[in-house]
Amino acid sequence: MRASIAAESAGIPSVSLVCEGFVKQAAATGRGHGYDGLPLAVMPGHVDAQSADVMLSNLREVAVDQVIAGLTEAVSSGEAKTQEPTALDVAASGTIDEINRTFIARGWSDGSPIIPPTRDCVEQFIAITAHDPWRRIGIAPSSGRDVTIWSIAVNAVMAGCEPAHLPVLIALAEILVNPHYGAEHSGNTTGADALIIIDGPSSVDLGFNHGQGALRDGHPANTTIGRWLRLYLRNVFGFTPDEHDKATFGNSARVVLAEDMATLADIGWQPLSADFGFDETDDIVTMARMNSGAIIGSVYGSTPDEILPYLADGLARISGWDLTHVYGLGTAQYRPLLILAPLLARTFTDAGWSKDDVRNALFEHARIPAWRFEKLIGEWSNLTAGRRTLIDLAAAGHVPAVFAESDDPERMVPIVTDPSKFAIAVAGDPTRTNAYVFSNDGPHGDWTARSIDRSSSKDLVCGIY
Amino acid sequence: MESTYDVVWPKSPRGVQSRPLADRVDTLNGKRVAFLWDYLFRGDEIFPVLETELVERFPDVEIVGYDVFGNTHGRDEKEMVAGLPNGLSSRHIDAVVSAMGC
Repeated sequence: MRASIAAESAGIPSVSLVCEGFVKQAAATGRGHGYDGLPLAVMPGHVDAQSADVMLSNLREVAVDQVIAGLTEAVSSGEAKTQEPTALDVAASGTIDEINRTFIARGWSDGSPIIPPTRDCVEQFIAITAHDPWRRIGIAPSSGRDVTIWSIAVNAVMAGCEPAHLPVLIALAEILVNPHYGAEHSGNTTGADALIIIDGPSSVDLGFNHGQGALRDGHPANTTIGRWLRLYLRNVFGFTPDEHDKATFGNSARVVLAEDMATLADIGWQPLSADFGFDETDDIVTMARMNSGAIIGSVYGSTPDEILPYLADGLARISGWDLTHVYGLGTAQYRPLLILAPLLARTFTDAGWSKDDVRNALFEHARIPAWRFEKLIGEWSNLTAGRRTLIDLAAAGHVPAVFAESDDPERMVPIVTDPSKFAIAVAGDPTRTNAYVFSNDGPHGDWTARSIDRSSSKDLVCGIY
Repeated sequence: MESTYDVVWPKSPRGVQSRPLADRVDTLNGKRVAFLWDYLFRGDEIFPVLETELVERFPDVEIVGYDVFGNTHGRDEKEMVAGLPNGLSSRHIDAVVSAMGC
């Protein structure tokens, strides 16, 4: 759709060929860029589930006429426009039950009870940090809606966030409008959801849990900020099933992961945000969309050599179709996350290992057979066009030579392009030896970090109005 | 008596203004039509057949294959798409078929 939009912007008529299930999202994408009624040619069903005969018959009998019509016939401007409220209008009134039912009916809620966002509540939420409520941080690349302090605060009130969390939410909004992150992909069909990671000295002051149950609900800072993200994606970025969200399954909101800063300081490792140019004195949120997660349970061993193969096995097991972000949908953008419980991190540092030592060892051990890699990105998913072998891809310079050291299909190849692609965080119960791994969605919510500015804003000099 | 609340809108105004679509062409005959592909969902099977069908109906259409512009998705998507208006204009493209959205 984005290519069609680029063509239309140049005054060149376009038609987009889409599968039947993508029609609503295609229309919403056009609308989000200001182009209502972008012409579509619709393939019945989904091409990946069809024989070549069925697919091409559908093309000839259904879609070709629509391609021609889309390029040669006048186009209506899409749905009739409805007047939308302004930010300060009363959008609904009623008891708390009535407000919640209204918000669910209008698609403004995640289904759990929300705190009614009255104007007073929102103003008070913003007042503590003195930000200008109408400051526009950017434009949502999916919906074309303004990302403002006000809308951040409205959804924060709904989610149950504390006013002290507003700087964290602003930093997250800045990530969402950063083109590197790619928020417009947040509704892709594979349905990844973002994981927010916070580190830095303020994470404890702000009430984040980094210890036992680090990814469990029960701690308001971790839980409500994770919830805010989903609400904000829904209401401002338009990720609802009627607009941009095409998740086949999806996940509920992820609880924010806070790193264990005390352990990191004790063992001499930098937090995750150091991978993005920050250091342990900075307050940072980092975000990436994660596909799958898995527990590496009861890691047994008292030396790095004993525990590393199991951790590497977990990373290899979690890596499936997502390997298309090594090359295919992405390029060198597969960057899985390993979360080590503090005891496991200490096992490495007690033996003198740095984070880079761990990454280098994971690069050697987290490997899968070449035939499996090729099937995952080719035959089984068709996500890397052309069904090229790793040897072909290495010859073309798309993957490093380590993927093509022989032509033996049983040779073991890495799951990332270089050791730095392994992200490592430290959190969780300090008395147990478990780990957690996540696969990431490459450029569709790419790792992006942003500092949290907790200083009083200089924005607000004359009140809300 | 239960409290009632007047609440504000959780969405945000559209910062992007509506724009008109490009004028359509009167016929594909004599026109240069570019295929653009995101290298997903069997476009490599679909585009050759689409080309055949269009040429049958419009013998004077000129098709510019998807390999001319390259992958519209993936790592370089933003740069690629940003460069499309100039790229299409410089190649005198009259119309575009973009695929596959699935």
